[in-house]
Amino acid sequence: MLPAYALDSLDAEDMCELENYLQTNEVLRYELEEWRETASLLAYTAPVIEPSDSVREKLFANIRLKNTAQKDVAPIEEKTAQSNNVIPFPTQKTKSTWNAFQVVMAVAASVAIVFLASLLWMTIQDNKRNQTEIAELKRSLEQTQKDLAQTQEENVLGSPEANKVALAGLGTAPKAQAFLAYDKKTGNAVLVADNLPSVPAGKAYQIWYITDMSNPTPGKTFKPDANGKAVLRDRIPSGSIQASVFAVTIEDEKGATSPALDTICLKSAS
Amino acid sequence: MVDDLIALTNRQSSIVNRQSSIKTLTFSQSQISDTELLSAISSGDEDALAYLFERYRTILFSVIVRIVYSREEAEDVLQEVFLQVWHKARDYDESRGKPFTWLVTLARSRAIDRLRSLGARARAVDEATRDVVEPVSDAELDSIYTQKQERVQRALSELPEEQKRVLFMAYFEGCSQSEIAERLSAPLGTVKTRMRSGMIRLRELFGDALKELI
Repeated sequence: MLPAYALDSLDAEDMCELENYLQTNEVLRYELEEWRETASLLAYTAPVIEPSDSVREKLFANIRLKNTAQKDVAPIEEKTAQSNNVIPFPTQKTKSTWNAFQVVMAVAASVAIVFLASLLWMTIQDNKRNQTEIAELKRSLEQTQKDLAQTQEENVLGSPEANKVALAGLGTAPKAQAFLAYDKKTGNAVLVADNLPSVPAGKAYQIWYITDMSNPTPGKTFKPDANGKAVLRDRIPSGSIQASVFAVTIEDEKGATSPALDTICLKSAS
Repeated sequence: MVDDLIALTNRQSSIVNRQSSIKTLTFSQSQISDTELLSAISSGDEDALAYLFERYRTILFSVIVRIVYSREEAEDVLQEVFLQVWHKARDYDESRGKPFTWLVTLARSRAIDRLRSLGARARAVDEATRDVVEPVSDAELDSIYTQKQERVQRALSELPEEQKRVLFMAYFEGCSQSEIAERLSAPLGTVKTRMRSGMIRLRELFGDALKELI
């Protein structure tokens, strides 16, 4: 149903059902975005037409008009505040007499206030309970996502058809070792590494998939834990699925588009 | 003949002027990503909005015209879209998708709303009385735009006609699956299958190039 939802073409009943799932499933929401990206490309099939220059002029005139209107309100409010410097004449106090009607109204108002205060207190309590429930659901969702990632990892690592490559330590990580398993059909890959030194602040390890030594394909970045262990889940792009060499270098945390070859610390046999 | 030449010259002057105004924007602005532009817009930067407008006006207007079939209505909708961008840029969340997807979805949604509000009146308009809008020639288009267009057209040419038709009815006419089934006199299940198969095939055909296209 996701492709149809991305096209806003689902019938109402199906839409309700799917939206219930989407609220609690981040993986589905991520996949929906990918379908929306595919759908958005249909925009390129429309015959290309240029708007007239007046659209831009009207747009910015509109924005400036609204900005000016907002600025005009402020000075008026300032003037009103400044003119409040008239000292009133003191007035004689008069005895206040409450008749029966006024007493009844006062009591009714007090009761209403008490009632509203109780309602407010109950709403606050409900809100606290809802927040607790939301926190529980979030924890449950995170656990589900972890379980799903672990299942995917087990599928790749345990599959007899998965390609498996050993990487040996080099350079600043001579004792490091790693094992890469990947599925050639889906590109799903899992790298398990050990004895990795920690990286400087702002840096991370990055995996590279190499079919052409002059143009390695970058993969994800990762950092080892305190024990020097790391598990990386990645997807090898279809253009690099025939890679014959795999390497890990030290790069900036955000990753690089070409490797710093002097920092290679893990490499498979060519 | 002379009037045609004058019109053509005026059109070319307009394009040259627009290209000149784009060139006067600083080099650093040409390097700014869409996300950075949206961030600047959310802080009230009109120059950032102007740059985003220049970058996307053509494709968004093309989609809107394709849906509402009227230049006047389409220009109105395009203005509404960018006003919405101006007011809602702070709500854009990069983790939910690329700016291109967000903008195109916004434009399409507004256009479909306008089409529906025009309702029966719009559908009853005779072909001959619709605004005539002439497409821009390839020579006047940005070369990157042309390449992207060709890439998408090539992918679509590999889809069976019935799948393309269902996708276009959904995307450009805002039809639900039931409405498509009714209009094509086809079973609902068949329409659902064609839509799903068409989208899956498109995604396969775009492959890794999808990220470069959006």
